[in-house]
Amino acid sequence: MADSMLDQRESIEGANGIEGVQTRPENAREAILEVEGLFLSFTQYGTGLRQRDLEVIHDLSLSAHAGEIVAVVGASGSGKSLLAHAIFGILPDNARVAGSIRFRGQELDTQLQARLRGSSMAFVPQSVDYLDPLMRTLEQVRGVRATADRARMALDRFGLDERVDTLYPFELSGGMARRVLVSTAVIEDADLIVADEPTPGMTLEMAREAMKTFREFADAGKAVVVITHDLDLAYSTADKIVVFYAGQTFEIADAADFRDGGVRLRHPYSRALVDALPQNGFKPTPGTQPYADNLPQGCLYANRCPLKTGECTAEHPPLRDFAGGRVRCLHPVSEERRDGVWGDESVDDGLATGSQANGFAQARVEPSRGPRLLEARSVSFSYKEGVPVLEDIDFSIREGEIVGLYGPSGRGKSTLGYLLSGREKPQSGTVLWDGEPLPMRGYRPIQLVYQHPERAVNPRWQLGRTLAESWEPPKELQDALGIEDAWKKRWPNELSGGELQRFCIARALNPQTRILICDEITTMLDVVTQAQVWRAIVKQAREHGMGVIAITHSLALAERICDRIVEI
Amino acid sequence: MAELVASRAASREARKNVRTSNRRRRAIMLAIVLGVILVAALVAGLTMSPDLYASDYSQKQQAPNAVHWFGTDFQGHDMFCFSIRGLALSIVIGLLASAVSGFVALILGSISAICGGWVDKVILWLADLFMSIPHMVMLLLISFSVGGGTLGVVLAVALTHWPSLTRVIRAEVLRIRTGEFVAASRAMGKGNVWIAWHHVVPNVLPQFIVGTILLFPHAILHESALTFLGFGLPLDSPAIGAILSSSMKYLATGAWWLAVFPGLMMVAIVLLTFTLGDDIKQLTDPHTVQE
Repeated sequence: MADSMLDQRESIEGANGIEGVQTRPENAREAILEVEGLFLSFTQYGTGLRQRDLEVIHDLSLSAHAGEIVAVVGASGSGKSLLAHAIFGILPDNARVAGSIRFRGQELDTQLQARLRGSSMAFVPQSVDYLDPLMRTLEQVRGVRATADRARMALDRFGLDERVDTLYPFELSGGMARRVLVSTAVIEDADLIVADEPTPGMTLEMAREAMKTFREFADAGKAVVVITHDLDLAYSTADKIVVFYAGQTFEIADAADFRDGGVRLRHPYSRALVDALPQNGFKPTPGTQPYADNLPQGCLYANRCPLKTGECTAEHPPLRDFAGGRVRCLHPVSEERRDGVWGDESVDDGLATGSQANGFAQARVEPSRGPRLLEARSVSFSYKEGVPVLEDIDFSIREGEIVGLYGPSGRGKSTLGYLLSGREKPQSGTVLWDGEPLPMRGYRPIQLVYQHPERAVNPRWQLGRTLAESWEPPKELQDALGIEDAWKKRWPNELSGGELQRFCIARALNPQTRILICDEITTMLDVVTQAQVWRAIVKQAREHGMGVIAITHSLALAERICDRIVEI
Repeated sequence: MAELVASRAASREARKNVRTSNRRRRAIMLAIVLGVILVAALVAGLTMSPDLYASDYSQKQQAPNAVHWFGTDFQGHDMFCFSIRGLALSIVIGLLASAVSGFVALILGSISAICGGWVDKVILWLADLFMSIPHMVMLLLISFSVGGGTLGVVLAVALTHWPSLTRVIRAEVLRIRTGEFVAASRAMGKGNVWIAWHHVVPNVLPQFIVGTILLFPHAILHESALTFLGFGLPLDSPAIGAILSSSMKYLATGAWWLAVFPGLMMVAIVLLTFTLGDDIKQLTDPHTVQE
């Protein structure tokens, strides 16, 4: 593996790989799915025996017509997955739903959901844990109605050859399992496909192939709803984009409105999403999404909105038609106001705002005692005899350096992270810190932050305790990461993945950490949170001369934050 | 705007009506009721004056009536008091057996998961061995080999209920020890003892408690079965197994009450503890705790 600076790559915005993406007049086509004024709440226990209702979705609307791909984007924890679960009737028992969900004009009740599920409506769940662990791939995809041939064809289009037919889910890599999941949905002759985060772990090409499959479905007169964090993918392949925030629909717009830096967007939050993309401003928005038990009186975005007025905090804005789309805002950004408001605003957090790859480099502080080196010398590793994950790999990073580790899934990026942090030992080769074997006692100078924060915190600890296990981060760092003090009293299952991940990062940013290994830490987060979190990490790294390894499959992100990028 | 407010209010109203009763409150009430019944049966049985269930031949073979609710047997024992006394004995043996089995399971399961290697293999092999022999045969063997009687029953029941719980605890400890939050804790310089106490114990304890409670009904059923077959408590002792066994001879003569009432009481106690165990499981499992 050679260190190499990856030069350019086709920008998604410019080259749209999928043919036939045009927005068509929607009144001509039949509405397959209509969600209107949906409310969803959970009955939860507070302290002791007191029960409370947590309203997590409020007045949510969305529709998908025949021939349409609708992308649902928005903040992590904004209720995107819950909406999917409500459509299919697979919410937990303590959930209460009010409002209307119609399928082809028919109100979806429990019986109808049970009848249509898996035949007329197909679901691609978010977690690959939804695969039956005891079923081989081909059987899994084939399901109850399809033939083996059709299952084979479905797998073929996702580049899965005959060898995977007889594999069990645990033998598949994350990206492969994800493709199997998507295959299980497209094989049914469904009128509606709802895919919850179908693409993480897939390469860009694979993700496009998946979207192309969805496009063919839509062209055959079906409707597809794709829930995703990947804004790039959403606006390059969908017809319509619905923006969710804190359990509400904020904006319904044509996908084209998201192009050209999003100048045609109506809601300030939609603009913030586009601006937060690594290839655009990578601009964070201060503050956090309000939590379900502490909603403000007026607009739910008022606490973060640059255009807020007095009315916004007093009145709850309705969803209304505006400039060819729908928006929930009292002061939608109209053509005339746009320039003045959004023009040259820059982020004044001391970090660069330019789009060049080394944008952050100027702020670097040289560490006082000469940078120490973490290096892997021709390491090899395999989980199963005869199936090497890493073979003869060399890698090195100095304190104070930010290195991107980039590559498609299944190449052993995470495993290299495990070896470098001392979580796993290489079967051959050595890992050296400052010329010596990794110190295994006391606080380790090399820390790892995991992709799935739910697994990285003790489920029976309040989060304040989880944080204190490492150190007590100063107030500024907590603010930079967007950690609210009230969250420290919460249990892990009461916070979203994005909120938990901030705790995991804060915990690892202890000044004793000299090299921080970040394993796809923002893959499951929305772009605004991603920008906020990475800016905080880079700032901390520069101030303390800490090294960072950013393991990622997003080249745009790597180019934005790293001093150099290593391809694996 | 008004429309929105109205729709929100309507949805709130709708939700209030369908809101289920407070499950957690129900569960705790149930636990208290069950606990009281168990303790009452235990205390009543153990402190009861032997006169209450002494034999009285002037009263023998009576069908249930106002004085003898459950009737009397061929020796004139009052079946109600006799059964309560028997239940208390069963509960004592059940408690003893599930405590011993739970303790063994906890120790073996933890050692198995922590040491791994050959220790793990030996313990798993032992558990498999115990589970591969029919449980009743195992009970008979142990009870018979120590000479039967009370000691035989207690030993047999206590020593044969640990394998399944051991496997559960081993799997749970293993899962937590290899979990990412434990790896993170280790990277932050925490030692094995600290991790065991702060991370592993809080996560395994609920499983352990529920598993131990669910052993209890098995233990008392097995105790009764052993006694019924004549390998357990002496047949003249007030034990449910013994009562059922001796009632066999009189069932044909129409003395149905001798078997039905003691049998029902036993079933009731078993169902009560099962419900209690499930209840606690639901309350402590993070996945169902909010339902």
